[in-house]
Amino acid sequence: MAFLTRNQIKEIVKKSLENVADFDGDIEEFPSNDFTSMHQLSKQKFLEALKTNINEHQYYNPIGQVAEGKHYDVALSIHEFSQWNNITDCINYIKEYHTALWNE
Amino acid sequence: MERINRVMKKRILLFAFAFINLISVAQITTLTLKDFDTKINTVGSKSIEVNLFFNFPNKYKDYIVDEGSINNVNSYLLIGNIKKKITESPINKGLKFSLNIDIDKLAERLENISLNHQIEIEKDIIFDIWNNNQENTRIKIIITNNQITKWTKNAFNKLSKTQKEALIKEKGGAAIISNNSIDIGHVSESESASGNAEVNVKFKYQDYWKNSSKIGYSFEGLLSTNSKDSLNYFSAYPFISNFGKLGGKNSSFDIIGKVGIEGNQAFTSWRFSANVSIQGIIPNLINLTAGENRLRLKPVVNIGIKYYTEVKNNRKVVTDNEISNQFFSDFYYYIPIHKTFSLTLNGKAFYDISKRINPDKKINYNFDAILGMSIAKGFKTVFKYTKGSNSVTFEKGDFFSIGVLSDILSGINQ
Repeated sequence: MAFLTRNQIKEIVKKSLENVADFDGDIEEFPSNDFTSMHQLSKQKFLEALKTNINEHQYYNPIGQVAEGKHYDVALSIHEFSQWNNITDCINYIKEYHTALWNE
Repeated sequence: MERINRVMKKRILLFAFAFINLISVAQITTLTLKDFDTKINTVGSKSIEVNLFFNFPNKYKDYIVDEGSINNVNSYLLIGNIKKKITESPINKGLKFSLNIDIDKLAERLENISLNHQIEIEKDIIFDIWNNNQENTRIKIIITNNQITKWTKNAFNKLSKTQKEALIKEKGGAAIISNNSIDIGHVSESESASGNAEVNVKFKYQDYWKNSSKIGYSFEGLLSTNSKDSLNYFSAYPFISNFGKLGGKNSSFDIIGKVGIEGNQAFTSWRFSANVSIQGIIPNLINLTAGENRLRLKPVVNIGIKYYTEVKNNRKVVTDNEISNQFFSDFYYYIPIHKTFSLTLNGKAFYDISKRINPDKKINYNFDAILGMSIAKGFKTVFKYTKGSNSVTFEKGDFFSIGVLSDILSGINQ
């Protein structure tokens, strides 16, 4: 395992989104404008929550066991947020760019 | 005979060992570079990174890097004779090199990486790629220092102008968060106060002062071809700062301070002002989705107190310039309606304690209400309605306008 699966990432995004919005259905099926209309402050709070939740997510070693010593990370910025048209773009970005780093 | 057998066994073992080694060497392969890009990280610790994406041969197209298999190597960014330690780590289809940025030396660092530079590794990077975490699909990959050096030659030059600007703008995190925006509207003859067709522009812009990650400045206003329109205003704040979070570091509320001037468009009325406010996200107040699957963004509010001293006033009853206080609340609320519509409320409520300025002790307000609808290609503004009192002159007015830029640049019309 080691890298996060798409489903795990979607759960992280969902949890982070709860800081700035309410919703009931599939987070990938909202009209894109609902996501892009986020106020700058909400974007910042969403990204901060996303970062925290990714950093704090349990690390899985390559054979799928929870392991110590590493944490997940991904580069985030409001600039990067502006490149996402919807939540699917956000999930795909994390899938493509996230990494695991040794704890300091 | 027994001795011959022992020698034979030894030779067979040696042969087998050499054969296995030969096979494992033969299975070490290398990859070519498919693409690379740069990213900025402004949330948490600040960094810039280069991502290298490798060409996976067709037969390995479903493979990804085995994150746990990468060996430890030391990586450095070389700029002239300066050598900076950077971090290498795997991503699904390649490798990432991250350089932590000292925010106070951001400009210097960006200037540095505009010079010739490259990444070097102390030894070859070796890792496995595999398919669906299956042990028997492992392929060993080697990436040499020569490859890394060649691929990363001046790689950070790929940081775009907007990435560099964003890095500077976001360097203080949420310190002076605001929506930078510009919206041009058209008011028809029948709707305008002057009786002529008018064009107005509403804008807001905030940024940090150069070499500061704490102090910013901002301009905002509503300016019109009818300079006497009652709702026109212009504010400039050369000092804005975030004084920290209210109630601890996990709080959703920031304490913001700003000092500047506020006036109407013609500056026939203007004042110096100092503001302290608490900015944050509050729970949703209304649900108009009728059960449709919509993202109901929580309202953003900024509640505070203003101290001001008038320099010039245009009140109809001649009075001296006042020194007073105002309690105010700015708000932004995007309300999804049913399946495709939305109403965006953006405005301000304020209460002035001066008996001369606010003899009726009224809470005044002004707001924009934008009705829009989601369409296949994005978003379309149906109309925009502006109403209320000017917070400087207290003059009242309202108008309907049709957003022009909002349909073209919906990304900045927030």
